[in-house]
Amino acid sequence: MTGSTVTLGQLLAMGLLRDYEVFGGFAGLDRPVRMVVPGGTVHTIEDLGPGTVVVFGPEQLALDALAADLAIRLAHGAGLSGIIAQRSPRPVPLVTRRLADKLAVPLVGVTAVAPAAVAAIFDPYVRAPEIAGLRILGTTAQRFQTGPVDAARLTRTLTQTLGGPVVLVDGEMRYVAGADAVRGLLDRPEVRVHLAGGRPSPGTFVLDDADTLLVQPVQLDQDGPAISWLAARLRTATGALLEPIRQSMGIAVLAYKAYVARATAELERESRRRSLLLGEILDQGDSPSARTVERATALGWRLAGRHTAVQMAVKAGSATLRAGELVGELEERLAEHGHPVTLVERPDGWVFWTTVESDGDSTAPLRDGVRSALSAVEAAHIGLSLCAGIGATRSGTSGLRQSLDDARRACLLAQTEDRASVEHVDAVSMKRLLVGWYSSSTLRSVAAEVLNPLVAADPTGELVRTLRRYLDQESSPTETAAVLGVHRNTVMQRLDRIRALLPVDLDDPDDRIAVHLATRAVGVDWADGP
Amino acid sequence: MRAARDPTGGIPGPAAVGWPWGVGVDIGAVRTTGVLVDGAGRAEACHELPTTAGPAPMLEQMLAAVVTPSRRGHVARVVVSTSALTVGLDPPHALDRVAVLRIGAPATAAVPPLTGWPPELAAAVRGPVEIVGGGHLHDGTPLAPLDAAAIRTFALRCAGRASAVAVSAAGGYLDPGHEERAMGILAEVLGAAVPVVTSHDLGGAGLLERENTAVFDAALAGAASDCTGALGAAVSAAGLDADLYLMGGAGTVLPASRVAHHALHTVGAAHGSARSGIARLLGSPTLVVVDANGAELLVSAQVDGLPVESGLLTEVRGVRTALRAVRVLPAGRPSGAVGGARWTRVHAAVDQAGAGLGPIPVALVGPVGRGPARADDGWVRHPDGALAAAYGAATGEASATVDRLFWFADGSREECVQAARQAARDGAVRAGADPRRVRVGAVREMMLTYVPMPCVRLRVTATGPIVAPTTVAGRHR
Amino acid sequence: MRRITVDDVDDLVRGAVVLGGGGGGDPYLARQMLLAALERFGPVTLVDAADLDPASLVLPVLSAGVPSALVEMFHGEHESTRLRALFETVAEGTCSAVLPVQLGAVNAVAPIVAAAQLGLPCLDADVMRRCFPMVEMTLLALGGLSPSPVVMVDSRGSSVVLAATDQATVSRLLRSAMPHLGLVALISTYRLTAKTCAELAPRGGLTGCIRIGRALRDCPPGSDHAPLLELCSGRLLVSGVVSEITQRTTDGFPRGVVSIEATEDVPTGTAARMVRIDFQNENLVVAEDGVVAVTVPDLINLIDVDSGTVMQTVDVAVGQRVHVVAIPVDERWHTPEGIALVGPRAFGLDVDPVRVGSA
Repeated sequence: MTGSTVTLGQLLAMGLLRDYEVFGGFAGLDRPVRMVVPGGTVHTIEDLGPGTVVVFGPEQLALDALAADLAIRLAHGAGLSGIIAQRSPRPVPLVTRRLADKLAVPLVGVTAVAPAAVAAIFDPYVRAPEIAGLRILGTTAQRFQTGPVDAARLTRTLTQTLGGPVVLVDGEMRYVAGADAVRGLLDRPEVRVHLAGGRPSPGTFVLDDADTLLVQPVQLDQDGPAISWLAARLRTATGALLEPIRQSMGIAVLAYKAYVARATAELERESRRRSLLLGEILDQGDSPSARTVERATALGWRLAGRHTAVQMAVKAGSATLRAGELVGELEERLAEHGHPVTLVERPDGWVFWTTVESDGDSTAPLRDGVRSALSAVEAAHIGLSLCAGIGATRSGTSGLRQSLDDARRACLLAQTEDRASVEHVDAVSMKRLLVGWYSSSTLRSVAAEVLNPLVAADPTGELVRTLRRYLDQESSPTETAAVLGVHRNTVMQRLDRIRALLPVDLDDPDDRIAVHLATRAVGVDWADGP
Repeated sequence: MRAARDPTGGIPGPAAVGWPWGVGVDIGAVRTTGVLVDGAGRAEACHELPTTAGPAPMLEQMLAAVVTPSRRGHVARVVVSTSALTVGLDPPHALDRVAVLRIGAPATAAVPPLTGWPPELAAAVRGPVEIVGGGHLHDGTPLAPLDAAAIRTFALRCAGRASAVAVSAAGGYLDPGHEERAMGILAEVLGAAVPVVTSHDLGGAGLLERENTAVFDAALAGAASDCTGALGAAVSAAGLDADLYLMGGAGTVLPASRVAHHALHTVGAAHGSARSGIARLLGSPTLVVVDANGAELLVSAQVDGLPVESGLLTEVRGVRTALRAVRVLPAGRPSGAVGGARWTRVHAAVDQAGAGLGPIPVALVGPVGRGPARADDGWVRHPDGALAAAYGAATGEASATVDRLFWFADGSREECVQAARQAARDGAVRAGADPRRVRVGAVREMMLTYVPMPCVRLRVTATGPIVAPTTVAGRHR
Repeated sequence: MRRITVDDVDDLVRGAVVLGGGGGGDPYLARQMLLAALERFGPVTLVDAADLDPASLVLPVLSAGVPSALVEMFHGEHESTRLRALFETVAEGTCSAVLPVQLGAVNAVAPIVAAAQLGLPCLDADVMRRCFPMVEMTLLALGGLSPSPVVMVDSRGSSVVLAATDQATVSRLLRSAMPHLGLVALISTYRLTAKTCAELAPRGGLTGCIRIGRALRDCPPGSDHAPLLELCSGRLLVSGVVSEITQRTTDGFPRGVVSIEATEDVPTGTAARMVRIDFQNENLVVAEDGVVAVTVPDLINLIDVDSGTVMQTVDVAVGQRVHVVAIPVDERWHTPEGIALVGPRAFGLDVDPVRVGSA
């Protein structure tokens, strides 16, 4: 004897019973099983020892009968690890299922198997858990050999196979799939140290109540960071069972990696296809070829009607976020805010557009939706900063091109703002003037020159930022101090320095406008506009 | 009014374009609202008027407001929600005198028709009453041969003594043959001026309940025919070639021709329209509705588009009818300050309406600013909540429910379920649903007691959008 | 002399529903039957068996059938006359009064209706003290009488006389005859004289119903039904919300389970008590979290909290708020012989009987 034991959850997971259903008492599935015996009458349960699983035939116990409730109570009193009985076509009443839950006595229904046979099937694995370990490894290999599996199937299948809860989290410990309760265990200090370590590696942690936590990294390449972690909490999985379970998790991770790789490749292929098609449409102007129209229609794109384009871009990236994931998240959040769209990759960001039949709809809901979506994605990733631009609403394919151009410029404009920002350019917007100005490289180099003395004197950019905020706040030092979160005197001191350094007069309205524009344009990498 | 949540995803497919448009008009005691919807259920126009006249003039005014001349050709149906057909139930309005024919002798004589009716009500409606031989047993075999001669004698006795006739047969819901033959004889003797109301499609088992319902329907038939006639004239006067339907209490529609003989179905129509309307506006077929449209706040729930029933039958003036009661909980005055006790009552009603349904949305409907509200109530308010009843009428669907015993030999239980589904489907199509778009709900097995043989009581409802008349589809081609 | 009049109808039917214990048939139809009979034939006189000619027969009357068939094809006017004639021929005697057998909505009323039609008095007595589903579950059988002969008549002129030496055969014959009678029949069973009746049939069955109905009328909706419980020495076991109803009809006896989640203040982290009602027509056992609280032969009722209505179990709906109430029955049913006849095991439930107030 190694001192280790199997649980009823593990026994069921081995696939030894062709057909079974757990009606209640799931919380008890990870209790150790000492023996599996055929039952006599319901009342003989009291004579059984703790850790026993009792198996009843249809003559002794019907799961819909009142006796089932009594059996659950007696099993709870005697410390049994579960009741197995024959299933009938009649439903198990809610009250029975809830009682099993309440007392954490697993209640398992099986189809037409003699109690003695069930006991005989399970017995070897109960007596010699190391055989059970091999069986688990074999079952895992069999279940995951079918090819790539997604996160939901990974955790579901592994939970069944290991007989304990499993969770998958991403590189930043956010929940992806499986049992959320296990994720809490990752917060324990020793686990956190392990997960934050330089080289990701499998880990085993003994928890306070004799449970074991196993963690397994998912790495796309051997020396890279862990893009996800797989974690399993197992009761009594000590000794002989531990190694096979660890290896099982390794097998499962391989199958998941295959899935991630394939999904990434598919996403990239799909994304390339969409970019190319959009390019084609824009090139062909108002008379796109039939084939182009057909392909656009297949993607659900509409070419006729009035279009409003939106472009989105990253201002500052997040370390662990892959581009494909970001697009997925953006699409998800946009859908949540009422815009179920697919994003198309462009050289300087991602675009989509909405199409209406006729005039009159305000773009305000669109702007609010995009803004909320950006904020939601930013909130989920530390360091990530996003912006978007919305173009004017225009008709037809050529209108779509114009709107996309507007959107791109508006997006550039948005990059001049600090927070998740959305700029909207329409035909009559004053902002078009600014866009024109920002897009001129000549003017921009003049602007850079103007500010050069400030940058030279203060490479941190504090002086430029202060000046910009001061001009943004209509030359009010008090407001500027509030926006920057510093004392008013600090602002006054900086302004004195700025006035001394700058070759222009801030009290002259013309100079002031030029400097203001310069502060807003500086530090943004502009592509030259048309 | 903005469009409802659009089931087609914003791009009307060819099918949706082909479906005809509908007008829904809710004629309340104080205000009348109307909505014009296109084939995809999107609101094209809406209007609100103070109710200053009877249903027909109000309908005429509303149609003039929402249907512009260029849109007339699109409109294939007008659906009205009104309580006008059943005003006869409320004193001092009068009910017509009814001749009551029961087919069921020699059985059923122990409880004659109108037993247990309040005396003044019975006195008002009681015309000639007769129980004649005929009817069917639980398994569809005849109880007795139909006594055609007795029916003819009875019909002669009715002439000049009753304004309408109510006919019900034992087992009629399983085999309507005897009721239909009796109706033929009565019509032959009495002529078309005396409406004959049958009871076989008024519900499941329960002869007394079906008979009571038919008596009420017959007592209201004269006024109901006048009302539907006037509404139909208003539709024509508006230049529309459209079918007229009325809303029923379950939130589904009935053809005007049928309502004229079954006015009781319109009891609770205003609330039913509001409930199904807000559910479709929100795209949420399962919800609790708090209705502040009327003089009293009403709370009810629906699941997958079907109203949650109380398990009881509707009582009208102390008489049990065959109409299954929707669980509608009254919750006090609809407007005014939301004090502690008043809020508690509303809240309790909402909890009770949604009991056992899990977490589902709660929606408030009614005129803007009316109805109880608290910042933390978490209720859904649709911007067009004030028009929910009219929208519910405009998009109203036809439905039918089957609730009866099926007897089966070993192994044919599945066939019973199939038969029940088919019967519900057929019923919905008869009620006006488009056969291509009928949805059959889950078949529920109801409980039975003291049954010595294998049998099952099945209950299932089928629902579907109103079929497009071919003439209208033709106009759109 | 006590008489049943039109004014007693509502109380009598309401009280009979309580003794139906979750079964007993549609109270609405029962009410109309009694009302129609009393309006047509006038009040029915109640008598005591001791006041009758001791050698005369009494006519036990029972409306047998499937409630859902009965509401469609209820009795005609002539069954009682034909029943009496056939019974008197078979039993070789003359009936001096009608004897109620079962107390439940329909069968508390059927004997009064028959008495009104026959012009006979009705005994204020019964032989079940509540509603049980089998003709052999009577105090007469407990006292050694056989249900044979059984006389059945339907409204269309068919009649059946059956007899057997054992009670199980009587039950089987009776059930197999029902479909041929349209599932609705008026029945007479047990041959007994007024003298035997005075010995075996407890008095006060019908007036008891009226008293219970009156007490129920005094229970406002939403209350704890104290007047009813006080009158019947009953207990309010638990209140809760119906969360599931399952039923199975495979073996010809419709059995089912109502699951009720108790509404009560529970400490955080623990689940509310779950209450289970096993029923077969009537409610048979109530158990809380697997512990049996009360069993048949005592009465178990579900009362709708909002309306105060005592429910037929078939009419209970998921989401409904209910009180679970238990009421003790006649002591004779609690003897070992009584338990053997109508205890939980007689209904196929393998639990020991538990009386109201003993748990």
